Amino acid sequence: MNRKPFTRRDFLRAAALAPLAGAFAAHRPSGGSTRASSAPAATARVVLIRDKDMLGPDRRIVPSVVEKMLDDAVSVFFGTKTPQEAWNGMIRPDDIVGIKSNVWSPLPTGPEIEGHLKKRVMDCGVPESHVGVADRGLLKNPLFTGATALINVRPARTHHWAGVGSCIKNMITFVPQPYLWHGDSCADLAKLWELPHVKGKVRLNILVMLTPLFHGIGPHHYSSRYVWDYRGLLVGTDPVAVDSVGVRILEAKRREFFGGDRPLQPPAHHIRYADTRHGLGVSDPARIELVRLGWREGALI
Amino acid sequence: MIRAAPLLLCFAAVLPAWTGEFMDDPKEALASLLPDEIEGWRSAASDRLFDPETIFDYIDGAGEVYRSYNFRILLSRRYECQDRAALVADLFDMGSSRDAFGVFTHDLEGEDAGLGQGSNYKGGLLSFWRDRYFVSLYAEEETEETKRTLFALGAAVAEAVGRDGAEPGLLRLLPERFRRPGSVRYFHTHHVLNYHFFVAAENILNLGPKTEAVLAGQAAPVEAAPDSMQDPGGGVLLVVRYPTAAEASEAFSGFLNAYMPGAGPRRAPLEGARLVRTEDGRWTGIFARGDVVAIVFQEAEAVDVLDALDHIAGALEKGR
Repeated sequence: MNRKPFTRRDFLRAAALAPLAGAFAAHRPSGGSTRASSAPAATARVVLIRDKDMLGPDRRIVPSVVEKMLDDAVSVFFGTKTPQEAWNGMIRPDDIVGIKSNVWSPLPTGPEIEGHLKKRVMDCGVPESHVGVADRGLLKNPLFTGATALINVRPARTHHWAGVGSCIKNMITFVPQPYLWHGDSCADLAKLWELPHVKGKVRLNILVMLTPLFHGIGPHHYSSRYVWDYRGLLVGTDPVAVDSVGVRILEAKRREFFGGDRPLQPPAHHIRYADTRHGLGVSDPARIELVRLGWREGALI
Repeated sequence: MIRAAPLLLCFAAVLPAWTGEFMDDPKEALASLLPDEIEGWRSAASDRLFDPETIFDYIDGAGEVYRSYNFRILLSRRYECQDRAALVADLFDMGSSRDAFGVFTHDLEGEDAGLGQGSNYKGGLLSFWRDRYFVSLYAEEETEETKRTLFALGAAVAEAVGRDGAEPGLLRLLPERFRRPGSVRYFHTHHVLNYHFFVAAENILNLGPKTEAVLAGQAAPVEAAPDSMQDPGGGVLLVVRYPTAAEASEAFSGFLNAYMPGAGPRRAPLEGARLVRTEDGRWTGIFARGDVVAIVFQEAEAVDVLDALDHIAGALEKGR
C-alpha cells in the first residue's frame, strides 16, 4: 500500500488554501471526491417542521401534536394532499418494514413517534406481523434481516466518536462490532449504507429534534444542561442532507450557548465524507432546499 | 521478633486498600467502596457490573474509551431519594493508577472539585481518580442539592479508596511550560490521540495498547475550555514510549515519511532531531532516543521546538 496517509498537514494545507471555508467544512479536507467535476451537482430537499406545543410538562411529547407534525412533514416533502398518499408512495402492502429507531436511554426516539410511524405503515396495508420497531439485536430480528423497506428515525445528539449521532450513523447497529467503525472519527459511516440489509431500502429519514443534545460530557456523554427544547423534526429521503441540516442547528446552538465558535469535538466529518467519498447524498448546504414549516422562533437556521 | 517487624510494616501499608484488593468477588470489592446511603439518597435496585465486553450495553460507543485504557471492571450503582433526581455512581477499576489518571484526562472539562488525585465538576457530573479507580458520579438533573450530594458521595468514595497511586512516569519528561493543569492527557491509542489532536487518519505512529503516550499543550486562555486543544494557539507536545527501542525507531521513521518527508537531520543543538516548517507557518520537530519518540507540533519559533526536545533528551539522560 503506497497511498500517502492523510495527515494534519493536509488539513493545514487546505486551511491555507481556503481560509473562508465554513465551520462544518473546515476541519479536514475530504481526501478525494468521487463526483466527476463535469457532472451536474445533485440537490436535496429537507423539511424542517417545528411546533411549540409538541412538548408538554416535564418535556413529555404531546402525541397528537407530534403525529400531525410527522403527517404534515411527509405530505409537504412528497407533495401529496394527504399523508397517507405519501406513505402509499413509500410502502407497498407486501413490504416487510423495519422502523430503525434508537433506544439510547437519555434520549430515545420514544413510543409516540415510533407508534405513529408503525400506524402509518400498517395503514398502507402491511400486516402488523410484518412491521418491526427496533434498534438493537437487528441481525437476529427477521423483520430487519428480511426487511424490504426501512424507516430511519432517531434523535439528534452529539457523539463521542462521530461528532454527532444522526441518521447516517443510525445504521451502526446493523454491524456486530460497532466500535470497529470509530477510526478517523467514524469517517466512513456511509459505508454502513452499503450493507446488504440496508442498501436501497431506506424510504424515509427522520431526525428527531425535539430536545437535541448539543454537547456531551462524561462516560454517558450526557447532561441535562446541554439539551434544549427545539421542538422540531427534520424529514427527508437523503440521510446526508438531513444530517447536514441537523448538524448546522447543533453547531448554531453551541455558538449561542458557549458564546462563540465551539466546533464539535470530534468534527462530524462523516457527513461530508458521505457525500464526497461515498456519494450517499448531499451535504453542501448550498445544494439543499430547506422547507420550513410551523414555529419559526429560535430556529437557528 | 526482629524479622516480624518488616512484615507488620508491609501489612500496615496495604491495610487501607485491603477491602478492595483482596476480596474474591470483584463486585463485592468495588461495592465496598460505595456507601449504601448518602444525604438521604439510598442505593436502589441491584448494582450492575460490566466488563470490557459488556460495557457497550451500558455506555454505548464511549465504552471504547475505557477499553482503550485497559479497564477491568465497572460497577454502576443508582441512588434514589423521594421526589429528587436520581444519582448514578460509576466506579471503574482501571487496573493501574496510570490508566485511572489517563482516563480521567480524557475529559478535563469542568471546575476543579478538590477530590481524589484530580477531579472536575460540570453539568451535574463529578469525576475524579484515585489510585487505580476512576469515579464518575452523575445527577440525572442538576440542582444545588444534587450537586452537594454528589460532592458528599465523591468524598466518601475517595476516602474509601484510601490511598493514592502513582502518575505515569512519562509525565516527568515534560518541560514545565507543557505541564499546565487541564492540558496534559495520557493515553495509548491513536483514536484517542486524534480525538484530542488530529495527527493522521492512519496510525502512522504505531500507537497501541502497549505504547504509552502523553499529549500536552500550552494552557489555553481561561476563557477557552480545555477541550479546545484542536487549536490551542501554541505548541503541542506528544511523547510516546514504545515497548522497545526498535519499535520507537520504526515509528520515528514512519512519522518522518508520512508527515515531514525531506526534513533533514540536525546536528545542533540536538543531534538527530528533524524540523519542518508546516503550511501554517509554524514549526514541527521530532526526535527519538531509546524507546521514546517526542514530537512538538505547531510552535511559532523553531527554537522553541528544539528547546522542548532538548529538555526531554536531558530528562531521559537523567533517568538512565
